[in-house]
Amino acid sequence: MAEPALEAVEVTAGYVPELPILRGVSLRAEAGKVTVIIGPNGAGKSTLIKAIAGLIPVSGGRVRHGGRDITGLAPDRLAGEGIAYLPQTDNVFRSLTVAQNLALAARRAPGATSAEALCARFPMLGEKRNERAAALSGGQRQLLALAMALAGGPRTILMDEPSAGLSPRAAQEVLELARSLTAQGVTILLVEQNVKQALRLADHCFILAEGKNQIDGPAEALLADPIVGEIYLGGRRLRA
Amino acid sequence: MLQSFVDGLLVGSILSLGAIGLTMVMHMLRFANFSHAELLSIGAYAALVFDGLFAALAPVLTVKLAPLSVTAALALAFLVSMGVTAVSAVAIDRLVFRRIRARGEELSMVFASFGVALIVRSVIGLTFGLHPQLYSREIVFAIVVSRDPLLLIKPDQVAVLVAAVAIMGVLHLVLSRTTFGFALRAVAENPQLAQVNGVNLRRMIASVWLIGGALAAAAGVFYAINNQMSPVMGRDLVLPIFAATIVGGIGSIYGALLGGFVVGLASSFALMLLPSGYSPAVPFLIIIAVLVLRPHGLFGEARA
Repeated sequence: MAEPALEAVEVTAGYVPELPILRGVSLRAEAGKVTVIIGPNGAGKSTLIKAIAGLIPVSGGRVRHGGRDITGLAPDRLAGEGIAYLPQTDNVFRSLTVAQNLALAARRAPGATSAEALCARFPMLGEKRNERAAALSGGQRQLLALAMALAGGPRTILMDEPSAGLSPRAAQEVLELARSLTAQGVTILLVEQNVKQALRLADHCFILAEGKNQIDGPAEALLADPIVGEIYLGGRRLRA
Repeated sequence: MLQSFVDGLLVGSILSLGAIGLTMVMHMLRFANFSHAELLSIGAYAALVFDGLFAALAPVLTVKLAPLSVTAALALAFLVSMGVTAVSAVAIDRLVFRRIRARGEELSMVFASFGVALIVRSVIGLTFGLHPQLYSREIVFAIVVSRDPLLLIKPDQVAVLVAAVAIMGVLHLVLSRTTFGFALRAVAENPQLAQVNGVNLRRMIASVWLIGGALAAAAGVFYAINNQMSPVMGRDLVLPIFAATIVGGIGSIYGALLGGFVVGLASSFALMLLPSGYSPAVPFLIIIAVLVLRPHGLFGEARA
């Protein structure tokens, strides 16, 4: 089996060490593919992505990126490892203008894409470069967040529910944009609540529940799996 | 009225400089630092020490910068005091607050800040005495700018106001034109997001203490030039500085600037309506009014 771009092995993590939310979760994200993590509320999806990003202490297991152990890496060193993280909410600096947000993101890694180049790539951001991020719509803000993530030229992007709070159309656009990045070899690890939309977009899917792995497999296969459909329509639990 | 306005601007500019560091620390480190105003005292007394030192080492520096009461030695000492206070602020954080922060005890940091304030006040009192001190005993008369309405301004007041506004201008340029400034504002707004955008939080925390300390020193020296310095000046200024921070909205650097002027002007105008003995209550009233009417201040935002 080829070396995965990103790998979590038996990760145990939580906000408080005595109360782990993740209990031995494992995950592999292949290079240039979209890997989605789904699961019911409280399954630990966002916690897993935050643990990988170094925002939550990992008390057990390892996280590897490109073969390098990045367990417990300080979040400000993520960019140096070729990883970008998009939080679910509050993912842009509202008090800064669009251009200032991009300039800040562009300073984080040597050889990063300049704010001007990002404005050229995303014309909407160029048009609103002098507006405060607080004035942007939800979709525009998500686009800005994605542009900021791309500034460091990441090999892997961790996205925590990028469609949250967006209109269906804006959500679709953001997810398609994420999908299009894989053509450039970027690996996407996505946490998503919109299961159908996410499974249509993804190559591989991991299902979590109660802080543990439940099922994983090709997204297409899981989309067609009647059990997965039943779980998400009826809220039934998989293996305890 | 006009006199009160000008006096209020002067006080406001001093409070603004003090409030900037406080608002950043309160937002980033999530604790009300009641020892912040003591940095003004450290700055004022550090300038006193270096003023004397420079005057002794180079008597030529004792020449007055007419029409001000300020000497060249004090002007130099002012710059040095900003550095000394900035380093003191970082040292206090390393010695006290960082250790408590590491244990995640935010409430303990508030109590520790009271302790730090008492220690700083006591050390200054023991070292310099409890009596008020001045940089210059020379009497500088106010200039009559206008007789109707009456407006009296001392050259020192004009210099302090100009210097404070110049410092704010430099700060504005740094905040609005440099990526360091963007990072500083980013950390004040959302430290975690700033981190994932490559901002080194430890370095920024040190920068916040350095900047906050330097600005507090400037405020302390400006206050002492226009009034006098005493070991309890930090105690007297802590409440107006907190009021300025709360008015502006915790975490908002520009809010702190504006908040300082709001509190300064309100305190000054209050003297027209109330006996001077009630004046210290004005910041309390402002804090209560803001917390009731607009809990996040003029520029602040709700946070978890």
